[in-house]
Amino acid sequence: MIWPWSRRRRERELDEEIRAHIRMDVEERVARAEPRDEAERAARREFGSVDQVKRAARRVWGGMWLDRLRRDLSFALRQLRRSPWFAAIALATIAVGIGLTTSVFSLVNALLFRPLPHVEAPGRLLALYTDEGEGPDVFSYMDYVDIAAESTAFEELAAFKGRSVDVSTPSGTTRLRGLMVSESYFRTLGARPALGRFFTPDEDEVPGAVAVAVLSHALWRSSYGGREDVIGETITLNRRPFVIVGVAPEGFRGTNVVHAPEVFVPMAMQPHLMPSSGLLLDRRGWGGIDVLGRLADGATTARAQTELDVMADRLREAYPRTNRDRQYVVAPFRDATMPVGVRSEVLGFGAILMSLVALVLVIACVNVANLLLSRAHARHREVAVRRSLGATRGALVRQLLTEAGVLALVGGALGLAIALGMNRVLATIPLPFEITFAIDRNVLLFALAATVLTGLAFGLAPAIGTTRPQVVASLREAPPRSRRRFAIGPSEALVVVQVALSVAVLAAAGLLGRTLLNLRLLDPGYVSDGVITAELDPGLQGYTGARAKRFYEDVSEALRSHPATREVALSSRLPGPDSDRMSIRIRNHEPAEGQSLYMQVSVVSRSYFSTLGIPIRRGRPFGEDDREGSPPVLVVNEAGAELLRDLTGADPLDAEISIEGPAGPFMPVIGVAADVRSGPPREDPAPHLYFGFEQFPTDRDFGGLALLATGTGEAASLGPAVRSAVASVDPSVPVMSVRPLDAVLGDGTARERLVTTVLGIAAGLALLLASLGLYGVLARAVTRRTAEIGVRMALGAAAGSVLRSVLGRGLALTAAGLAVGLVLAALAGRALAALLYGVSAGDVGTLAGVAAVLIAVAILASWVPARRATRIDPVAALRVE
Amino acid sequence: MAARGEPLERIELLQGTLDLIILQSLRWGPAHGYGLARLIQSTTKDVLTINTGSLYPALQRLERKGWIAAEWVVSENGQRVREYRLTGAGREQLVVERSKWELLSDAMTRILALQREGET
Repeated sequence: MIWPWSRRRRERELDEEIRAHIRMDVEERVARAEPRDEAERAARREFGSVDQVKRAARRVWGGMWLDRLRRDLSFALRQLRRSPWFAAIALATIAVGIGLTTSVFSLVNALLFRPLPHVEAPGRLLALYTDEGEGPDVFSYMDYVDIAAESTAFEELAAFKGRSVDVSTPSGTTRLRGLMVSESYFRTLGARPALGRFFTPDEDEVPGAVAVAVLSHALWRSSYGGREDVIGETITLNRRPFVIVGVAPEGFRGTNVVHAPEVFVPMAMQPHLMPSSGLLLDRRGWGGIDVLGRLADGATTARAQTELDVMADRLREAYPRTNRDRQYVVAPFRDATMPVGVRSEVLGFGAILMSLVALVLVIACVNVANLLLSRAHARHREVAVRRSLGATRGALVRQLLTEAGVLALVGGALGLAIALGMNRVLATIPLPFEITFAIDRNVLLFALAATVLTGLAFGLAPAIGTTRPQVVASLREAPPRSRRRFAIGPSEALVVVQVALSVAVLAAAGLLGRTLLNLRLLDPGYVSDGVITAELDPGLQGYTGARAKRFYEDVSEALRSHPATREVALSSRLPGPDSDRMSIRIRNHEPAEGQSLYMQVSVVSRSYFSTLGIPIRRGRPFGEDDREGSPPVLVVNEAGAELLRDLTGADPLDAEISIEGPAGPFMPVIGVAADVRSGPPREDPAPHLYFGFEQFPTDRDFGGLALLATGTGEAASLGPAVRSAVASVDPSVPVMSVRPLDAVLGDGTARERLVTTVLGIAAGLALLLASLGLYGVLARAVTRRTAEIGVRMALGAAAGSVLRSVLGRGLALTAAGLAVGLVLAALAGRALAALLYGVSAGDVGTLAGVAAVLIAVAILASWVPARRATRIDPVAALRVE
Repeated sequence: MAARGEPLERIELLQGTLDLIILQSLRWGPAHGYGLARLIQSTTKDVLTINTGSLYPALQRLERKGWIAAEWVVSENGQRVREYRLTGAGREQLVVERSKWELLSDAMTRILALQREGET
C-alpha cells in the first residue's frame, strides 16, 4: 500500500513522465519536418487517454485496498438488490436486534455511565460515607467540618443536602428542588458560573445569616427570562428574600443523575430550609449530609482512606457518645450520583437487563447467519465458478464479509432509528425519576460496536463455510445433499440455539410479568380506590405550633364541607415507599446491650383509619376524648403488636411505649390496626406506630402533612376541591403533588413496570425471530428434499405422513431447544431473583407456559412448510433433477 | 472482450508478455518510457505497437515488484526524464519469464503443427 503523501508525489511524477513522453514524440515528429501543431495533435492521439493511463497506474499503486473495497461494496450492493426479500428480512432482523439492545443500553447509560455535565476530572472525585457497621450511610455535618479542616489527602471537600423549598413569585408559590451546599461545593466539582459568582466562605459561616442563592440555568431561563441583570435581585424562598448572586452553568445538575437541583443556597441556611428541624449543623449525631472530596495532587484513594481512618479514631476519642462506632469510607464519585447503595443495585439490574436483550441480538444474528448460509448454499455454484477462475479464497471470504458488513451497517443504522422510537415508548412509563434516554456518544459507540460484532458474527461463519476448498469439487455436482433424511447441519444447530435462548428470555419476561401482577394484586390493607392525596407544608410559610395545627384543622374542615367529599384525614406520611423509623423504648423491657428498637411512626388524624378503611383488629381507634392535654395514647399495627408480644411476652394492649428519647413519657397502646403496606410493595409490613394528630402538642412543630380525602366520585375529581379548600384558608401555602393514592402507590412498582415492559418487548421479538428461524430452516429442508418427497409420494406415501414428517422435524428441533432453554431459563431466573415477588425463579407454571407458547409457535412455524411439502407434485419434483 | 476504455482488462491479458518484453528491452541498458516504446516498436518492425495505456501501468507494476528501478535523469536533449533500469531481481525474473515463454511457445508450435496435420 502507498501512503497518501508518497502517493501525491507519484501522481506528480507520472504527470511529468507523460508530458515528457509526449514532448519527445513531438520533437521527433518536428525533426521529421511535420508542422509543430500537427505533430502535437498526432503525439497526443498516439498516446491515447492520459486519464486512462493514470487510472490504470493508480490501480497498480495502492488502489489496492480502497479500490478493492469499492468493487466489493458495489458487488455486495448488486447482490443485495438482486434479492430484495432476503435483504429486507435480514435488514429488519438486524435492525430489531440492534435497536432493542441500543435502546436498553441508552437507559443503562443514562443511569450509570453518562458523564455529569460541568464536573471536572471526575476520576479524582470520591464520595465519602459514614459506616457504623450497617454499610455506607450519609455524613454528619460536624464530622465533615472537622475532616475538611484537617485533610491533606483531599484538595477540597464539599457537603450538600437536597431539600424542597417554596419559591414565591407574584404569580403564586411553587415548590422547587433546592440544594444546600458548602461554599466549596462548586469549586470541588470544578463548575464555573454562567453568570455572577458562587458562594464565598463568609456566606457559609453563620447559620441563617446570609440569604444568598444561585439559580440553576433552567430556572434562570424560565423565571427570569435569562436576563443578565438578575444578579442582585431577590428570590423568595420559604417566605424570605434571597439575593441572587449567580447562575449555574447550563445543564449543571450537581452530582445527581436523576434529579437536577433548581436552586442552590449555602449550607448555613439549613435552619431556614428545614424550619421544623431547628439547627442541625451543630448536632454531631445528625447524619443526612452528602460529602464529596477531590483528591489532592499525587494523593491516592488508599491514602485518603488511611487518613480518614486516623480521623475516625481521633473523633471517636473526642466524641465517644456519638462517634463510638463511626468509620468513614470512600467510594468512587459515581456512587454519589444516586442515593447510598442504589447504584450497585442499578448496576446489577442493568447487567441482567443487558444480557437478556443481548440474547435477542444473538437470536437475530443467528437468523441472519442462517439466511446467509442458505443463500451461500444457493450460491455454491457461483462460488465454485469464481474459485476455478482463479479468485483466491481470501477474495471470496472478503466478498462475502463485505456483504455481511453492508447488511450490518445498514441494519445498524435502521436499528438506531428503532432505538429512538423505542426510547420514546419507554419514556411514557412514569418513573419516580427524571431521565432522558438520549442517544449520546456512548450509545453511538455501543451501537457501532454491536453492529460490527453482529456483522462478524453472522458473516464469518457462512463466509468461511461456503468457500471451503472442497466446494470447488461441487462445480460438477448438484448442491450437496444430505445422506440421511435430515442432516443436523449448522442451520439446524443454530435453530436449536435460537429456541433455547428465546426460552430464557420468555421465561425471564414471564417471571417478571407474574411479579408485576402479584404486586398489583397485593392487598394493601386499605382502600386506595377513590382516595385523593395532597402534600402540605405550611411550616415553610411560617406556620408553627398551634397556628400550624389550626391551619390543618381549618383546611380539613373546609374540605369536609365540600359537597363532593365524604371523609378527610391527615397523616404525616403517605403509604408508599418511605421508611423513616424512630427509636422506641418499651416499659419493662430492657433491650440487649448496644441494641435499639425501631418502629415506623406516623401522626394521623382521628379519621385516618375510617377514611382509608383500615380495620381495627383489637382495642379501639383514637376517639373524641383523645385530644391535646388528655393522656396520650398509641395505636400499633399487627406487625407492631407481634413485635410487642415477642419482646414483652404480654398482651400488646397492656404495653406502654416511649418514642421521645430516654426521658420521654410512656404511652399506653389502646388499639391494634390492620397491617398496611407502607414500604415497598414487596416487603412485609414493618412494625408501625400511630400517634394521634389531635393529641400532638402545640408547643412542637409539625413537618409537612399529607391530606387524604375520599369523595363520591373519582379521586381525581376531588383535586380542585382540595386546592380551593387550602386557598380558602391561606392562598400562600402551596398544595403539592395532588394525586390519587393509586398513583402514589403505582410509583412503587415503576421499576418492575419498566423492566417488564423492556423484557416483554424482548420476549416478543425473541419469539418472533426464533419462529422465523425455525420456519426458514424447515422451508429450506422441504425445498432441498423436494425430489425425495416427490419419490415417496409417487410411491404412495400419504400426505399425512409427509406432513407429520416435517412437523415432527420442527417439533424435534423445538424440543431440543426447549431442553437446553429450560436450563438457561433457570439460570436467568436465578439472576432475576432479587426482582421477583411471589413467584420462584424456577416457577413450574411459568416455565410450562413458556414451553406451551413455544410449542404452539413452533407448530405454526412448521405448519406452512409442512403443508407445502404435501402439495409437492411428484412428477414436477422428479423432473427437477 | 473489453474494447477501448478498459485498459485494465487488456493489461491482464497482455501481462506476462508485456512484462517479458519490457524486462528484455531493458537488458541493453536503461531507458525512459518513450524510448522503450520506440525501441520495442522498431525492434519488432512495428509488429508490436505498445499501447501507452498498458506501458506505464506495467512499468509501475514492475517497479513495485522490485524488478526494475527508476530515477530522474536529464536526457541528451536536456529533457528531465524518468529512466528505468533492470535490477538484480529483475534479471532473475527475466530468466524465469523467458523459460516460461519458451515452454509456451514450444507448446504452441506443437499444437499448431498438430492442427495443421489434422487440417490436411
